[in-house]
Amino acid sequence: MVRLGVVPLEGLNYSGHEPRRLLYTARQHKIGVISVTAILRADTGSSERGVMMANPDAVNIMVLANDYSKIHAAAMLTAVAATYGKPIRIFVSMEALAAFHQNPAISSTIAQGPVAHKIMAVGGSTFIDLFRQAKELGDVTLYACSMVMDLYHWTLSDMVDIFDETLGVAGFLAMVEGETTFTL
Amino acid sequence: MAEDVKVVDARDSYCPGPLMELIKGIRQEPVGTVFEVWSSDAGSGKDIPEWVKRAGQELVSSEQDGTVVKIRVKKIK
Repeated sequence: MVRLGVVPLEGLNYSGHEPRRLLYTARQHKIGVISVTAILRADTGSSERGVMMANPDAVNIMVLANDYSKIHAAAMLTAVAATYGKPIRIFVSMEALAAFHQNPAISSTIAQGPVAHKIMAVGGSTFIDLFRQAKELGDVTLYACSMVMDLYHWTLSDMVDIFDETLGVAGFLAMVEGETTFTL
Repeated sequence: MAEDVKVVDARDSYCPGPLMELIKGIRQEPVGTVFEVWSSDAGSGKDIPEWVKRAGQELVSSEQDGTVVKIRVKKIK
């Protein structure tokens, strides 16, 4: 049986990651890939390349460690890379995800080394500030790992309001295949 | 006539703060605006010119004034 799905296109910018995000959404709804490809071909502003091939300009970062400094480094890289017009995806998983929880009792469990303490002491921008700036400046998408969210029964409303959606590791790997990906 | 210069005083800011302040200014002001970033962050002396080159803007000058680096950048696009 062929199932025809319709994905609303209004308001989407068909550059950077959007074709891949659209494809991912289609998969979530079990909409055939051929149907999505047809939609993209009908839109002159979209890039089939975004679906079919890796984007050489894209930067992807997996943030996993229970380490404030590594999360801060990811945020700095993201903020600057965003200003170059590079599409950036951040996948936050494992112990790192707790750092983004709205409850300070949870977010404060993240390990803070000497540099993290120094950043806080001088009142420097937090990694949350930097990710927010990056999102304002460019094509930045943050994903919260669905496995960790499920393990702790967290929802996106429990987290700081910078995530675009939850995503599994398989979904992330499918999106970033062939692209530059860092792990912190 | 002397060129108007918009000073971006980022002396209390740490990397990448001065650069981000400059970028905010560039996004807000029209083409032709000249900015002078004041930064006490030593890395800005290299980071900001590198960003300016990569972003296709114009580096007018860069000079050290005591502990502060003053970098002039012209928005050309």
